[in-house]
Amino acid sequence: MSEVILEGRGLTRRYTTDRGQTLTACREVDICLQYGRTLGIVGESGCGKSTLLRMMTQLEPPNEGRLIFRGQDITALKGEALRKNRCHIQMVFQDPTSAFFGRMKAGEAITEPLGNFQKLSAKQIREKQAELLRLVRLPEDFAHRYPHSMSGGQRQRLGIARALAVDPAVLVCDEATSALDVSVQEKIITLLVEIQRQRQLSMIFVCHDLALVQSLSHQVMVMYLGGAVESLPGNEVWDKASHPYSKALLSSIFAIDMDFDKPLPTLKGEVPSPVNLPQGCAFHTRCPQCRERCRNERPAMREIGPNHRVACHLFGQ
Amino acid sequence: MLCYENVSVAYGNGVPALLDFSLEVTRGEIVALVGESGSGKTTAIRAVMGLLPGGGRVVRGDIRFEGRSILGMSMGEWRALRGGPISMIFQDSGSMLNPIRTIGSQFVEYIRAHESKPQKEAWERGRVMLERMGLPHSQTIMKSYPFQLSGGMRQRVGIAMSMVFQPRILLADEPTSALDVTTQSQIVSQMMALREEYNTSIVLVTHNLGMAAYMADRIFVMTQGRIVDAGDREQILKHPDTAYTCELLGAVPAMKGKRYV
Repeated sequence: MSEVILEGRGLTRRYTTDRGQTLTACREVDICLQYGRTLGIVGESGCGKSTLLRMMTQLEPPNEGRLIFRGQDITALKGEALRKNRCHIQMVFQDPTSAFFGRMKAGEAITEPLGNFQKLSAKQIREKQAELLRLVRLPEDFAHRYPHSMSGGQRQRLGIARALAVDPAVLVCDEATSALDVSVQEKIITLLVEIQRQRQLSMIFVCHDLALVQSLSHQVMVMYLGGAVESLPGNEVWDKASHPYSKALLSSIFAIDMDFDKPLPTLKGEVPSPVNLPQGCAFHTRCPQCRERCRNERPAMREIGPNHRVACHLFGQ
Repeated sequence: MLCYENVSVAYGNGVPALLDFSLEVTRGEIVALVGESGSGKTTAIRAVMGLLPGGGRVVRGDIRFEGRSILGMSMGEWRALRGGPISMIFQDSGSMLNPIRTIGSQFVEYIRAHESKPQKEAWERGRVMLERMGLPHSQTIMKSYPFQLSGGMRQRVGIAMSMVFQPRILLADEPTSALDVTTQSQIVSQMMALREEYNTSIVLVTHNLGMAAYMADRIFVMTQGRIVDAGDREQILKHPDTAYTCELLGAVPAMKGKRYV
């Protein structure tokens, strides 16, 4: 068992809507990232994956729960201590176009985060720029270009370079390839995996594309309506995914290796509102295997195999 | 039914976005145009509707619908065709709808633009269409504003609108790209049902090869404004002709495919 680098225990985040109702975006999520590994998070819009990321990157404090980095509780860090800690956890954003300030040259943009943590001479900065650009396989003269003169894939490489400038231990990618074409996406993924190997980087990769996530993650966590419903090793997703929602996700993917003659199974209805969470299991309103117990009692995460945990009454006991 | 003859389209800067594009769609057939951004797939279907943005125009060739040239039609004739026998589903139906008017009022306006019908009848017809698209509480939805609906519901409103006059041909521009996967499979099932029910031909534009393979009778792979590969599912997926198609297929993440770790 390798070492845990970042861990969240019982992370819960609630918002108050403008009508005074409570919206639970994330409830009691346990998350565990191991050193040098990738944790993939999948789920549909509104499942709380972005909120979870905001808590993991400390852009927002959780209402309940704790965040532990390298064995230290960092939930309550404030001010200067919090600021200093930020260099350990960095983020790559979904839309590389809006993630850059249009009037800043690429070189300045990727080394800007450095200025927050150390003082460097102009020469050192230039060296760092060149080093970062080489790392993400961009020509060194790109330092003098503006982001708008680059393609989407090149801009996303810049995004990665900027996130890696302060040499973080954890890289968080929020739908980092969703805005890109598949061939570009493949190159970015290959790059990320390569950098991960070189630097022993731990990654959290959030994406709605289950096929993509499982292909690059050591562990995959499936979320639904603010809660984690299943967590299992990436290479077991296809064979061993057990939660009815994970199975529904799997069967809704249009893959080029799918069985084309099988009728398309569809989940009925819509995701319930997070303002008005259903009693019992969050998924019971759409679950094809719903029982009486599911309507009344919320299932806890239970271990059903090595590194495989499911929150569903159908399993265990 | 719909026939492209060596169509080329150019935008303002003179660079052709579509080059020598020929395609024939027969009744009840589903044809998919797949490719990456900038491949000209959207331009191809927008040309039919006269919806080319930014000064785009057909510079060569002809587009025929049931034997008649669309490009030679008068504005009135063309207008009668669009939204009637030929209709279109957009990538994000939410942005097609007016945000400050209810679904019902826009739906009624759309119906009455094509048929002179009393307000009430048009309303009822719209409501029934929504129900058919699997939207529950159709009366409430008719009275809602677009922002009160989820993305999947708005997309279904868009499809319901495009299907009112039982078009003979439906042009679908990335109809599910903005949606979650479980909603996506709902919409795909509904589009397939349209063909069963009304024998509608569908031209599907998508970047999702899996979805194209699932829905379409014929798949056309496009890049840089040209068709580079064509054939049925078996041919494209199993025996691709060109290097580009192979490359594209290799890049699509698959459940049982390549693993990076």
